[in-house]
Amino acid sequence: MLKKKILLVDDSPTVIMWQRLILEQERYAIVIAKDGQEGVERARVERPDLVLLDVIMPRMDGFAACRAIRECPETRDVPILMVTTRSEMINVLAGYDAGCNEYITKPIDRLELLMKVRSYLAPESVQ
Amino acid sequence: MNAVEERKLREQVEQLASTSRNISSLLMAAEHRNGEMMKLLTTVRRMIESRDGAEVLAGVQEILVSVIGTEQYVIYALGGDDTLVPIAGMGDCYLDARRRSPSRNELALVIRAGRSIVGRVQRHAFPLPDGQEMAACLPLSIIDRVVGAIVIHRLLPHREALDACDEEVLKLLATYAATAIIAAEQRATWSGLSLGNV
Repeated sequence: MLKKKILLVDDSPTVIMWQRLILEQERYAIVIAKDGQEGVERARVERPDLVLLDVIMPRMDGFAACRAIRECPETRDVPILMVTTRSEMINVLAGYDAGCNEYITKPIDRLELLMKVRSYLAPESVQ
Repeated sequence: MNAVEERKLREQVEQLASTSRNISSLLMAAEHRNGEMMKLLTTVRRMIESRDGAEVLAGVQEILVSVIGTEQYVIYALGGDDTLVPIAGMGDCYLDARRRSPSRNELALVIRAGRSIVGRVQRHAFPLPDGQEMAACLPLSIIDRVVGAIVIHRLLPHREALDACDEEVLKLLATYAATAIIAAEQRATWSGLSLGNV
């Protein structure tokens, strides 16, 4: 059975490194994009099972990327978890408005991340 | 089933429940520790992969934001006359520091003393003379030489007080940042020498 694939979209090498460390330990396959625009393109090509999307990024921010992923027929149903330092209600609402499924705030808590990812990716389908 | 057997079975069930609780709490502790180790590993890897002073500073800032959880911090270089020069930072406190810079104040004396201050109980444990608050102050030092400091003024609103693992992460960052500052000084000295020779 194939590993579940997660697309990490973040311009910070540190965040990518940390998320990757946490998720690869759980045997998820990881794909990386360094900004929103690349994230939209990678989502279309790679067809991930879940997207972790940063909010503030160069070229295209997380909200715009989220909308673009939702507009594409091939990726419209993929679960999107937005990762942000901004926990204020206005940002959370903007994220949901753009079509995200869930919010994760930085600094990322390993267990919180795993629980939220697992809730969207059935564990029995992970090798 | 008689009363004696029933009592024995109840005792066994209670014992199993207690064992299960103990295992759960051990598992949670192990998971927590695992998360802490990953935090440290990420910090070390990010620092080791930095190829020059600029990358070290960029890495330090990414870790402050994404691992520690602050958007109100200043990284200072300390001059020989106890002046503080903000070399990087984020938020209003950084803008204030740049407006004041270079400054010689009580914070510089704290930094010169080379003592780490980390608020482990309260989120903003230390009021500064100018009315600002400070969650942590880590001197950037190698052996006995203090060359600057990382000053965290405020943590993100949803973040709890810093813990022992955060303190270790900050100490690692402080060491790498100190190395970067000293290396930059050396590079400036050497390039000055070679220009003079030319």
